[in-house]
Amino acid sequence: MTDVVAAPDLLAPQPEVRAGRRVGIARLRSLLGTIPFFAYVVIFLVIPTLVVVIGAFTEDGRFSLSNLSALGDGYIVEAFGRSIVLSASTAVVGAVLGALLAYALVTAKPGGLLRRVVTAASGVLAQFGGVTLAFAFLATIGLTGFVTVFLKDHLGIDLYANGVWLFELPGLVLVYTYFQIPLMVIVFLPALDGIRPQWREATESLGGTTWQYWTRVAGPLLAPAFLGSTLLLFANAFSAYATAAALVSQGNPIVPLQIRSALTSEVVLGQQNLGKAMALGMVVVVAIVMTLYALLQRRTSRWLG
Amino acid sequence: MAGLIARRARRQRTFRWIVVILLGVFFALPLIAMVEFTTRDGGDTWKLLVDWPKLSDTYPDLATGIVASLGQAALTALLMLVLLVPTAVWVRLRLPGLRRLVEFICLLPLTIPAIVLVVGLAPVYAWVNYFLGGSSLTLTFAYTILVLPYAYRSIDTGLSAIDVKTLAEAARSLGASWGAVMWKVVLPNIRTAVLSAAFLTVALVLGEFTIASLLHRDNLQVAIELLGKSSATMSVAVSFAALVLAFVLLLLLSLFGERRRKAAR
Amino acid sequence: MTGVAVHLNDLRRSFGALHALDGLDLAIQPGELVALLGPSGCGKTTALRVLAGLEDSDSGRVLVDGKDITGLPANRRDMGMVFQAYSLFPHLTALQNVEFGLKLRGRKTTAGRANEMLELVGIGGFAARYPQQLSGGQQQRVALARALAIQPKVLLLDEPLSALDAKVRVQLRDEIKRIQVEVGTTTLFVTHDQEEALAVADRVGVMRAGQLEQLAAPAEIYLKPATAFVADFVGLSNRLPGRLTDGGVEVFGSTLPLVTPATGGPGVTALVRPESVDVTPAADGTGKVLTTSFLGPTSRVTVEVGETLVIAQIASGRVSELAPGTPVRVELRPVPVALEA
Repeated sequence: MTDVVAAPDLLAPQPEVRAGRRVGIARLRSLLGTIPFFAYVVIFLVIPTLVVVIGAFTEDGRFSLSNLSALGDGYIVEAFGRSIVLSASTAVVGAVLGALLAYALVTAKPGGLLRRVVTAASGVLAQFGGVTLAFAFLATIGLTGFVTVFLKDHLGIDLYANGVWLFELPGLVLVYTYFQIPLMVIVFLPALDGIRPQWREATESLGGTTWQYWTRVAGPLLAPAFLGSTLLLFANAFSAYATAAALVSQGNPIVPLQIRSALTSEVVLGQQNLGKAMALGMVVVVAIVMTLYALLQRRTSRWLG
Repeated sequence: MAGLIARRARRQRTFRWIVVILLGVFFALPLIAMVEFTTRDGGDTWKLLVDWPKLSDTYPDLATGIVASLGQAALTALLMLVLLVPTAVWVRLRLPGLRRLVEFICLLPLTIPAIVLVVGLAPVYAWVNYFLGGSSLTLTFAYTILVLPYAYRSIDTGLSAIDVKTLAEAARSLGASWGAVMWKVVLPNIRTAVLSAAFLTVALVLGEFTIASLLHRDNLQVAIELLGKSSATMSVAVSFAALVLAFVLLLLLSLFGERRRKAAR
Repeated sequence: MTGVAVHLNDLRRSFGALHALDGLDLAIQPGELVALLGPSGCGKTTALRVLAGLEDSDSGRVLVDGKDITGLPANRRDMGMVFQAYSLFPHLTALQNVEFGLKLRGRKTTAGRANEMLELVGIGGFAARYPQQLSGGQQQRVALARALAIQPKVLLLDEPLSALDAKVRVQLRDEIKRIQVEVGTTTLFVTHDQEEALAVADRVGVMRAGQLEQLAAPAEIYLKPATAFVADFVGLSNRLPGRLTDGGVEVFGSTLPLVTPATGGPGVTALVRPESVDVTPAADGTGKVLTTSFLGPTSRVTVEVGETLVIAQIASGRVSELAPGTPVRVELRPVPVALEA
C-alpha cells in the first residue's frame, strides 16, 4: 500500500511564526488536522496523475518515448484533430449564442422573473450532459425521433438522406452545443454585470454613437471575458466523454473514445500505456487552455470585478 | 416630444424576447421530444417507472443502477463534507499559508478530465478492490475528487461571506475551544454553502458515467446506457426523470438560499 | 471661452405616482456655476440627466444657447459630464481617457490637448496610470479633464465629490471652482451637501419634490431664505415661538424683521439661526445652559428657555464661562428671519 506522504512543507515561510519550540509544536498540531485531506488527495488524485504521467513514458517496464512517438500515428493525430475541431466549433457557437442570450438577460430587470428562470435553467442544462443528453437527442432527432418523424411526415424532409450524421462528428457538434450555450451564460453573465451604466452614459455625453461605444468601450472591456469563457467551453468540450460514448457506437473519432478503446482493448498488449500517453496529451492541452483562461480571468476581474 | 431613452428600452426588449424565444425553442425541443417519445405507448412506460417492485423485476439492472447511484450520492456528499469542511475552515483559521495550496488542489480536477483520471485510477482501484471489495459504492472515493472544485468553491464563498476569521477570534476571546468554534460558531453560519455543496455533489454523482463505466461498476447512467440497447423508451423515460430531478434539486437550492438571505436581512 | 445660457422650461417627469420633476423652471447665465441642492428624491439628479439627454422628460423644453435641444440625443448635445462614481473607462490610461472624446470627433493629434487638460486639473504626472492605480480624488480630476477636453457648451457634475473622503472633498471643490472660473463653461453642479453648494456656486437652487424653492446667491439663500424649507434645509434653524407685530415678529422680547412679509398669526414660529443667538451669563437670566459642544473655532451651546430649547453658536473662547447649569440671558440679533409655514 502506498505510504502516506508527509504533510506539506513545514518550513514554508509564515510571517507570524517566531522561532519558539512552543509555537512549532502548536503548528505541528494544526497541520495534523489537515492530514486526512492531504492523504486522501494524494491517494486518489496525485497517484493516478503520476500513473498517467509515468506510464506515458514507460514501455515494457523501462523508460521509453515510444508511446509519445506513437502519438504521431495517423489515426491518433486525426483523433486529436477531430477533438480540437469539435471543441473549437462548439466553443465558438456556444460562446456567440450564449453571449447573445446573456446580453439579453442583462438588459432585463435585475431581479426579475425572466432572468431568474433562465439562469436557473442554464444551471441545470449546463450539467445536463452524458448519457441522458444523448438519449434526449435520440428522442428528438434520432431515427424515430419526434422532429425526424415530424419533418418526414409533414414536410417530406428526410434528415438522414445522406447518412446518419447524428452518430458522427456533426451530431456531436449539435449535441454538445446544448450544454455549451448554458455554460457560456453562467460563465459570461458576471462579466456583463460588471459593465457599469456610467460608461455608456459617459461615452454618449462625450459624443459617441452606439457603434463607437461597442467598438471602443464595451467590446475591449468584454474581450478578455469573452475569450476566457470561450476557452473554458473549449476545455469543457475537449474533456467530455459520456455523451460521445453513448452516441458513437462505430469507430472512435475523438481522443476520449480512443482512450476508451485503449483501456478496453484486449487485442494488443501495451495499448494500456498508449492510452496513458493519449491521456497525458489531453491533460497538456486542457492545462494550457485553463492557464490561459486563468490569466484572462485576472484581467477581467481587474476591469469588471 | 421624443422619448429617445424609451425607444431604446423598447428596442432592447424586442431583441431580448426574440433571443429568448428562439433559444428557448431550441432547448425545449429535446425535452418535449422526450415526453412525446415516452408516451407513444399510451403511458405504459411511465406507469412502469413509478412502480418500483415491477420495475426491479422487469429491469433488474436499472433498479441496481438506481440504488447504487443513490448510495454513491449519499456517501460522496458525506465524505465531501467530512473531508472538505473541516479542512477548509481549519486552513482559514490556523494555516492561512496553506490556503493557496489547498485551493490549487481543489481546482486541479477541473484540469484533469474524468477520462484521464480513470486511466490512472485503474491500478489504485485494484488495491481498493483488494481491501474493500468490488462494490459500486467504492466509487465514492473517485467521485469526491470530481466534486472537489465545485464543493470547495461553494464552501469557500460561504466562509468568505461570513468573515470566519473575525467570528472565530470573537469566539476564542470568549473562551471557546477550537472544537466549539467549528461546531457552534462556524458550521451554523455556513449552512447554505454546505447545503449548496451537497446538492452540487448529488447532481454531479447522479450524472456521472465515465468513471463508473470504465471501472466496470454499476451506476444510474451506466444502467441507462445499457438499457438504451434493449428498451429505448424506458431509457429515455429514466433520462427525463433524472433531468427533472436535477432541476427540482437546483430549484430547491436556490429557493432555500433566497429564504435564508431574506431572513438574514 | 465664454459660456452659453441654459434654460429648463417647465420640465415634468413622473414615475408612476412619483413626480421627480414637477414643473421645473431654471435659467443658467452664460459662464455661471449653478448648484442644485436638495434632499434625496427632490429631482436634482433627474433635472441634470434630462439636461444631459440621458433621461426623457414627459413635457417641457430644454434650451441651450437659444436652441431647443429637447429632442436631441445625448451624444449630439456637446456637454461634458462627470459622474459620482465609475466615471473612467478602466481599460484606458488617464491620458487615453481624456483623449477619448477628442478621438471620437476624429481628431488625429490628441495627446497635446489631453496633457494640457491633465495639467489644468493638477495631475499632469499621472497620464500613464490606469484608473485602478489612482485614488478617488485623482480619478475625479481625470474625469473632469476628460469632460473639459472636448470644450463642451455645458459642464454637468452629478455629485462628483460625494464618494470621496472629507478632506479630499474640500480640496477638490475649491479646485473645481478655480477651474470652472478659468475655463468659463456654464456649469450645473448637483449635490446634497449644502456646505459644498454654498462654497462653489455662483447661485444655489434649492429643490424639493421636483420644484425649485429658491434660486439665489449663496449668501442670500442662507441669510434670506425664501421659504421655511430652505431655512431649515440650509444650515441649522431654531424653531422659536413668537408673535407677529408691526415691525416683524417678537421673540424672547426682541423684535426681528421678516424676510418676507407675513399675514395671519398672531402666534407663529420663527426660524432663527444659531449664530444670531447671543448667550451671556446673567444671574437673572431666563435661560439655563444644558450642554455645550466644542466644534473647533466655534462652539454650540444648548440653552433651555422655559419649555423651548435654543441652540446658539458662539466663539469657542467664551465657552468656559458657560458650564452646564449656568443661568444665562438669551438675546437675538435683529437679522431677518423666515417663519415656519
